[in-house]
Amino acid sequence: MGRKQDIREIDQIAKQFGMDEETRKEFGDYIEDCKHSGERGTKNARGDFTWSELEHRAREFLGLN
Amino acid sequence: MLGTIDLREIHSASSETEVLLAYFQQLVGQPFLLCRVSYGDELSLHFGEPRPYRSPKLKHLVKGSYILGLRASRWHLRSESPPIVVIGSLPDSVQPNGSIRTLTNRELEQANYIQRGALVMTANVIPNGSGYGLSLEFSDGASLIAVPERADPGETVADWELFTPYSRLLRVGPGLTWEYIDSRKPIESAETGA
Repeated sequence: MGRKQDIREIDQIAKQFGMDEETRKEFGDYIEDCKHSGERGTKNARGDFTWSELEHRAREFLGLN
Repeated sequence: MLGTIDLREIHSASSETEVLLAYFQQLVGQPFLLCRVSYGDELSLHFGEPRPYRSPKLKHLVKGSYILGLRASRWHLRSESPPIVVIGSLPDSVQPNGSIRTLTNRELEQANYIQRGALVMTANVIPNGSGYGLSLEFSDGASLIAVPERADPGETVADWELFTPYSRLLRVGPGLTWEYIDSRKPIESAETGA
């Protein structure tokens, strides 16, 4: 079972940035891929991302930076 | 009475179990490609034809033409060879011992508990009090069962979802509702009318 709060945050970020459902799905994979490649967030020991870090990653993912 | 559904058309929110089951049947016969764990420890199973991600940020990965995401569902995956049951949410109260061991997301992704190319033989939905569960059986003997966890009032996260090659998303739950929507419209304005 997924961690619902983390999944919910991805959904909220996706909505905030106007993503479609397919892009939202890819964004969730991208965030996890970042963790795998060592670009971890600072939210907790698992390397999850804070809200502002997710916003930054969304801009990066969408090429908005 | 006989009937058909067009998998390219959208379908508004519904509680019709038989129609949900019909939409889910499009997965039958599809070959398993890979499993991937998304952010939030969400297990995704990829089926069908391998396709590139749309995002250039993920050009090193492939995805399936069908993607089943087990969002807010508890799940168990049974492998035929080796004979193992993977527990999707091992309670903290259960301590690893001789028969029970912990598994990382990466180990799960690389373990081939479902053999690549194994075909989906059956796909079923299981209505219960808190929503729709699902079950899959594969040609290599593996099987998967997922049951929605209890949803709080106002919950928005789906219990599970299926992306299809028709740019449609079968979104199931929370609760005993589902819809079949356009997966390429911005989420805020996604059209849901049939």
